[in-house]
Amino acid sequence: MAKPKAKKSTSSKSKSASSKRSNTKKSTWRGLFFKLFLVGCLCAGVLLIYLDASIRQQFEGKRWAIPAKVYARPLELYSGQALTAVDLKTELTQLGYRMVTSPKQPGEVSIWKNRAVIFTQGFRFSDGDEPSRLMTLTFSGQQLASVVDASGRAISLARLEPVVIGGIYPANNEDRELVQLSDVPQPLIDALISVEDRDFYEHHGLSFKGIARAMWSNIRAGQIVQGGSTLTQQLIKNFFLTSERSLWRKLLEAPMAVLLELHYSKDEILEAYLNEVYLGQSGARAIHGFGLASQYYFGRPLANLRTDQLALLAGLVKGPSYYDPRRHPKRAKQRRDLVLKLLTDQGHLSQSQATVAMAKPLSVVPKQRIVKGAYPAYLDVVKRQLRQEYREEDLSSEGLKIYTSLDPIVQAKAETSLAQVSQGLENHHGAKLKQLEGAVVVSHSQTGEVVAVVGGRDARYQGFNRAVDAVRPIGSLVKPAVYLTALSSPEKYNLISKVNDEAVSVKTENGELWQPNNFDHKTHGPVALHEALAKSYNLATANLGLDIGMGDIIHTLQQLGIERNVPPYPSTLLGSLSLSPLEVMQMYQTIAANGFETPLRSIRSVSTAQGEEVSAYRLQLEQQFDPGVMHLLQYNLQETVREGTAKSVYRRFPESLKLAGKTGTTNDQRDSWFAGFTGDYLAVVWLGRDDNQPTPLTGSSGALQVWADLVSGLHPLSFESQVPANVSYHWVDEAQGLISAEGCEGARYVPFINGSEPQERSSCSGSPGIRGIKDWFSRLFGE
Amino acid sequence: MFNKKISAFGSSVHTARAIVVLLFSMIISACSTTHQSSQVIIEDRTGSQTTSPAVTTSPGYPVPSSQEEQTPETSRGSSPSESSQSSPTEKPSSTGPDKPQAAEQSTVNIEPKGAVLALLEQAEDQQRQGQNQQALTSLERAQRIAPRQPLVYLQLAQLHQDMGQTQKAQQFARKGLSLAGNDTRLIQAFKRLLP
Repeated sequence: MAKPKAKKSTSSKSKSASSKRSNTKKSTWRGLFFKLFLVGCLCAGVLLIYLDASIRQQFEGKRWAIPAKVYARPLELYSGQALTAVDLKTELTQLGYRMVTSPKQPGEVSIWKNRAVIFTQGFRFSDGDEPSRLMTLTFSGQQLASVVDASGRAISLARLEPVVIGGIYPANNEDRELVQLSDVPQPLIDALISVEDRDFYEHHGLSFKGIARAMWSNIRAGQIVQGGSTLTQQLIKNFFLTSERSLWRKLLEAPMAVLLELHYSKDEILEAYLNEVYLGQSGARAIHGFGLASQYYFGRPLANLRTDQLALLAGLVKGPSYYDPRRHPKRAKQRRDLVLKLLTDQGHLSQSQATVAMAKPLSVVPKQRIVKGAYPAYLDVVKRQLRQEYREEDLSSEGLKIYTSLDPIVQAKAETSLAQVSQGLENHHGAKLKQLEGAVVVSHSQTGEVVAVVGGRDARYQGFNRAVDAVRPIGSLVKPAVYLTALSSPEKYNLISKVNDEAVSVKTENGELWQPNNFDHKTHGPVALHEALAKSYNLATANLGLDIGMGDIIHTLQQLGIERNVPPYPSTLLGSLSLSPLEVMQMYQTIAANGFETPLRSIRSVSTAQGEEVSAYRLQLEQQFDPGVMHLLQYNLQETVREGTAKSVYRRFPESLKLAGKTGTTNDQRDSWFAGFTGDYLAVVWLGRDDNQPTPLTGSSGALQVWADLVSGLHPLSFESQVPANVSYHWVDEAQGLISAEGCEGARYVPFINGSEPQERSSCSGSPGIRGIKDWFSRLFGE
Repeated sequence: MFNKKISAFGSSVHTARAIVVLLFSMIISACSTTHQSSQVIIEDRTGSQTTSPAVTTSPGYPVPSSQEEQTPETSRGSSPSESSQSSPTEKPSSTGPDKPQAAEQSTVNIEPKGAVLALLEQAEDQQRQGQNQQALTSLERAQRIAPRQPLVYLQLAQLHQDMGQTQKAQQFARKGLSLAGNDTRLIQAFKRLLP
């Protein structure tokens, strides 16, 4: 605003100056000098105003642009928790804990066999502070047996600080973690001032002493070894780093530094500097400020760093890439030791302290342990939700804290399972299977919280997220909806009702004939309803679905949580419906949670940079199905895993573990699906090719293998289901449709909605103690 | 105009000094060196090859553990207080259809322990102090730890009821009811919250 106006006034002045030139020669020189001086002052004044405005804008505005930070779930620690020492180690590694023999300060841990001693770093959660403390954990088998504090008292519940899994960055990819001057350890400030700007508290933005000193040592050394820029000048430089870097900018740097000093106190300038300075590069992400640099290099907050680590950071300012402690550890150590020496020379450190500090190794955490950017598919799910509710600029500048339910331990296992099993399948099938891709989503079956999302075999790839965007026909995964609809009418259907597995031919709306086939191209005649689902017979399902009617089945799908428009074609009965893995998970979530629809959630809450909660995504339930009817379906899905299309899974699990699930295979085996749940987890796996070409895989030979590999590593809880009051179990002779007894030939122990069981008894009275083949259920579920 | 600008800038003694310093500084600023970093933005996706040592391809043989929330197993004719760990090899009932039915109505070990108990108590305190949001957060924490513990749902239902969210209260009550087994006191408590 001020600039154009000022220009105008300048030119009018110079005009008047030129008009006066024709006066006397005597006064010319004096007049000219005076006028030039006036013009000079004017220019300088104008420039000052302009610079002043832009500096203030930078300082007040940009100073606080903090990307939103996304956190994983904090790991809860309590006696009885399903957690192994190995899994704990995975978590602590991601948090940057140091393995030591005897933890003495926050961020250190020792793990020896089944005992872990952790000095936690503490965290300010939106619902309260978790103190930094020393605790001892003991493991027993696959459980955390006890948690006690330093004085041996039991801790009923503690949580570790959450792993940072990413941020939402502004366009320039600058990332920083804000620190307040009061939270910055004094040795860092001392070190910075000692090495970068010894007269910081005395000068007015420029230090002539500093320049002289720098020139002197540069001349002595014959090269540039020391800079004469003050911290204030460096701050100016960093402020404008992203825009032009011209001579003009260079010339303005000093006056701007002076202006900055006029407006702001030393402490304000120092705080801005600490947060602004560039300290490293991680891929596209520029590491700014000491708060983030501390995390980036040491995996822990600034307040928990040792003096030698602080000295290293202070030394980095001079050249983050030249002194990169990861790539040039030798240079970095020399630089750090120089800083320590300066600190000692200036009396901030005693000689013995310096000796101790110099003896320390660099202790920088390996770069691959830095988790940020590690979970692109999960972050993608989180961001999609956030963008519906927040403005992009708020996400990238307000320093919001996004707490998610990502479980890094499960996520790591899901990624490994998908990558390894896919590779194994490709190796096994050779030329017949190439370019196999896949996706895995995992949730807590009882809370609806999404704990892991894998968007492809290369889990680090930031692009196509198959978990959300691979919308593919779900094949037989749709069938539970058909059977659930049937079982919802107990007066018409129970689990042993007969359905016809016979040829189907339906004329569709466009005049074509729909003539589905069974996978084995055989018909099986009248089969029990439960068997038709467990063995995934297409013809039986088509006949059953056509009997029920598409309207009711679509309604069931909606109750299960499908929001997408479901076409009312008969082919929908066999899974021509296309869904993403995440949508499939929503559908099975309702089944796993006994008929209570629980919207899937990846975000738990969002709070401001100051820790105030702005929104919470609460647990929501909506009962969509009678628990009794759902119990029958759960029985049937357990049968699928015990005896049906997915029975191979029990090669990897003990018989006592109850699982439930359904395989899915689409036409020409273009898609291989498995959706299944345990007592605690629900996981959906899709395998297929991006170009939708056929594969040699069925749901069972493909996706199920990934699922089994993953779930066996999760130490799952058995799926224990209460028998609802309106359900009772009976031994039945399903061939004849009669009540039978234990030990009778072909007797099966089956749940019924009360009153829907057969009313007549078979002649067999049973011989207790002799078991039928199919009595796993009575052993494991009914009793 | 000149004066106006000066005053806009700030009339202090500093100004004059600033101008002098400024003019001088423009001359010398080129002399001063600062170190600055290279501005490279190279895509680097290596930053994250987190591998979990826990993952093996060999089949694990997980044993279901016996936390309170994992044991809503049926146990024939037991009282609510009786622990309900039925062994998988326990013999199924072989008598008629009536008896198994009675037997199958599960009893639940509803006594919360340890972490869950601590959270339920914490939520109670928070609710008493009018901190309903914090109480919700605590209860959700409890629900994650023990999703089959009916008391968690009872407290969630009661809290929502207190907050005037009847719909939600009823849903939580229904969920709790589905987990209450044959504990009559619990069933009564849930039914009071339902229409």
